[in-house]
Amino acid sequence: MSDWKIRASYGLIGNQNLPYDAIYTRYNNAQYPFNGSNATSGYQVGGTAGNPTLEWERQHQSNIGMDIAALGNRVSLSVDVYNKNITSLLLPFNLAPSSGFYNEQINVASMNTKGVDINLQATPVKTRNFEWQMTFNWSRYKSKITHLLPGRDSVSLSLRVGQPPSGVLVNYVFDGLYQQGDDFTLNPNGKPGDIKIRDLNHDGKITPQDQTIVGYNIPGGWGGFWNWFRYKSVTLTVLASYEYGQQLNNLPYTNLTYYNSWFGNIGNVTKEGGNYWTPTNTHTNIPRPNAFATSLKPLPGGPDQGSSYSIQKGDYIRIKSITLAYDIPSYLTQKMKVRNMNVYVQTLEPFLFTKYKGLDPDNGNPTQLENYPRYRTFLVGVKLGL
Amino acid sequence: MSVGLAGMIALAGCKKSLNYTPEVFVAQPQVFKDQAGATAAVTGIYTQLQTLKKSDYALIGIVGTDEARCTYQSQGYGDYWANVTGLDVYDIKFGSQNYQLTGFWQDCYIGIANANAAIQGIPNASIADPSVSSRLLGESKFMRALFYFYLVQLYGDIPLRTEATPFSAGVKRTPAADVYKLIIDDLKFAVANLWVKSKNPGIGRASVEAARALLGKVYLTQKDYTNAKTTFEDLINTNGLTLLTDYSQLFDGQHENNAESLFEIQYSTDANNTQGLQNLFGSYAGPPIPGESWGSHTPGSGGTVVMATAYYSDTVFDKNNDKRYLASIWPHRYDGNGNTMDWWVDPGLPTIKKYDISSSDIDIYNSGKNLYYLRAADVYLMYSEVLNELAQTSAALAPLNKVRNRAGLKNLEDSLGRTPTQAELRTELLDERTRELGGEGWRWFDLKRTGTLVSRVQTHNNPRAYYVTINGSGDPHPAQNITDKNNLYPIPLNELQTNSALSLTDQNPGY
Repeated sequence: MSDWKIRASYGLIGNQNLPYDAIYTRYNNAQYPFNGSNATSGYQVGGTAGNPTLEWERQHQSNIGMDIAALGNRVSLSVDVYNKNITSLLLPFNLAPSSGFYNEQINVASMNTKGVDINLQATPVKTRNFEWQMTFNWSRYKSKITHLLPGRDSVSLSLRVGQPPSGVLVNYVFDGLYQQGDDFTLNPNGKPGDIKIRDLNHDGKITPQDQTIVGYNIPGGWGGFWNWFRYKSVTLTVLASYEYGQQLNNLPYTNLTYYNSWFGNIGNVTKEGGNYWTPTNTHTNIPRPNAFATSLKPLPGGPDQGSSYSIQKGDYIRIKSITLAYDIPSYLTQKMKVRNMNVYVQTLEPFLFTKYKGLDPDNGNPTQLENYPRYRTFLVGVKLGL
Repeated sequence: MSVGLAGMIALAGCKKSLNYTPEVFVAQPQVFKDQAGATAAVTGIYTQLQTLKKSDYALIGIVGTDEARCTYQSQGYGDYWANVTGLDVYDIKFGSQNYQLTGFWQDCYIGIANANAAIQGIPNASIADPSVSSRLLGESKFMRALFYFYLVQLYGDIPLRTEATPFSAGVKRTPAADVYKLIIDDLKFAVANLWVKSKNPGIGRASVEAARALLGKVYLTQKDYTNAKTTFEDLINTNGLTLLTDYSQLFDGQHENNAESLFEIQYSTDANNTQGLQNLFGSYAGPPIPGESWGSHTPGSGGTVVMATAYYSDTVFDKNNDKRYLASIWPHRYDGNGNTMDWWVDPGLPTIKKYDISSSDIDIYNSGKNLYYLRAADVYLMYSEVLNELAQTSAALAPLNKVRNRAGLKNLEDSLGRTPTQAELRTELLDERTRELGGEGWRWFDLKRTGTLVSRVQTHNNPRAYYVTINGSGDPHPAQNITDKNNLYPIPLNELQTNSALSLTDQNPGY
């Protein structure tokens, strides 16, 4: 053991990250064209309502950490564990639409966050000609609301005591496909091959109350893995990142399952979309095709469209970059009158390993179709030291 | 309360002045300090009505009726448009999370919150002329009544919030009768304190005429025919009603705020003051006039979202004699050879012409054309309805005939060769209201008031017959879905979730 350290800290901090005028009800500019085209300016109240009773958010954070280095600093490990209690949590709280306002900042809740960060660095091999260095890190945290407004353990389907404050996916529960001869009480206009939704409250109809938590867009853990190899003057660097345990609402998957466009042949079709339900192909989860894909979306819309049909695991490992480099020997660089010279080939975002059925589990909001995928880049370069 | 006027910061030592726009905000006491501030706050209420009516929320009241329907394909434009189509076909999208009926609710209540703030604030403002102060109060109450009138008709019992209600308070659903009481009190105040149209400072402000017309409509909706009669007669005898001689001028964009208009929602081609309704009402098939050019700057083009029902476009008019027919409807679309495109089952169908842009507009998404809220012809037809319901059927013919004559039609009794019965005139007035006011936003409310919503939607919310043959059972047809429960809209789910005085069981029946 060459080094050993223990760290501990405790802090109480506030949160300045809120609009400075949150205690005031604000009037915004508005216009109206009285007299034809001359817009008269006015004021309109709305949006966020002022809350004069606001108090500071308080974050009590404690942290214990440990650093260990061994084998002549060839291996070092650092571990941090933290526990954060937030009271008087400041959140924009949705007001009833009939108030005429969208929300107000309130001291809504208390919440607890526990987390771990682990960082491991090692040099497994170190000889004159060959060297291998690596870094691996792993993080996770869990947050949950511990207390909400007095007398209420939920404010909405997604904000409740015992659940994380964000990243909760609320939706209808996919219950397979309707088959011929099924009872269509729940979806009177449905046809065999349509998506079936579970009637959670057993009231004989599908209403917004049949939505529940169907997943969490919160990873169970994530981190990175860095490897560096050197053989004589050639180095190879590989950087990877990973994330696991989170779910995504992959709406584009339902849209692209099969061609559903009215206007000409511009639709893309996924390969498995071909395995759609027909009266003779009933052992499938791909609904029957129809002009407007109503068999996929038979439900009242909501913050999340669709159903748990489109909730998919977002686990992935991504190779973010691979770089192969060569240091030109010094007897050559001296001839060229440069101090040093390095030539390299590099590829960025070369590989993604995932079972997620969308383009990329780590690319913005998956409910948008328009996200452009990350592109793979190849670079060839020379670095000169003059 | 302190004021955040950051604009007062002086930067000593700077030689050049910074091009710096401070973030300024104004709170209630500053707004309602003087006449300018109070007037600006009242302007903001009008802005909210303009916002409510500038895009697809305006389809509430128009589609899902016997005169206008959503196109077959609008449902396939994506989830948002499937929600719009839900307003027409009363399917599963016509629920408590429907974007349009949720947004309509929210936008009306934003208007109400602004009216409430003004009603609370105006008495504190130092305004030299008391008649100005009471006019501003009258405008605020007129607007509050207007928004509540939409809400109470669509949703039934609703949370009633007045200037005395704190915004963070939960409010229970108030019985519709009490909501109507506030609406009537507000409008009576407005009648007493607003100025007449000709005296108003600024075209487009609520006037005595507008308040009387709306109060009469509210009484009619409540079936209080006696008070409705008095109110309409006050309007006709004291203020006078004028019809433009040429019906088509009402919608040509060149005669805004005309003599017939009682209250109009004002738009202009300034930034943020435009509306985009032509895009909803037009079609992307060829031009409606053979050989015309075609694009986002030409009247009649659009996104094929709303079309006229066969009842409105093909059967309700006396096509040869009624001048309103071609002023209201584009009957055909044409290809490059001048042949009709009636074969194209959706875009080729007749569309409503009243929202067409005029030559001064930017494009079909940005039109400066005003929208009618109330006009004289509506009042004449309502007055006729009131007299007919009071069993004064012969007297009811006179106001109806004014509207008919302007359209180039003979008196009804001359066309029929006799005086109609009360029941006949009832049906005739419903037809006449479509001929005169089709697509102007009152139809759903007319049908609900007369108890004919379900039956007339089932009978008339159809496209031309061949269309059904081609699209078959794929057509999202409201007749399959509409039931008595649809006389009320569902209360938005987010209201039930966030209003602490309500729970999920406070929903209207059947939703």
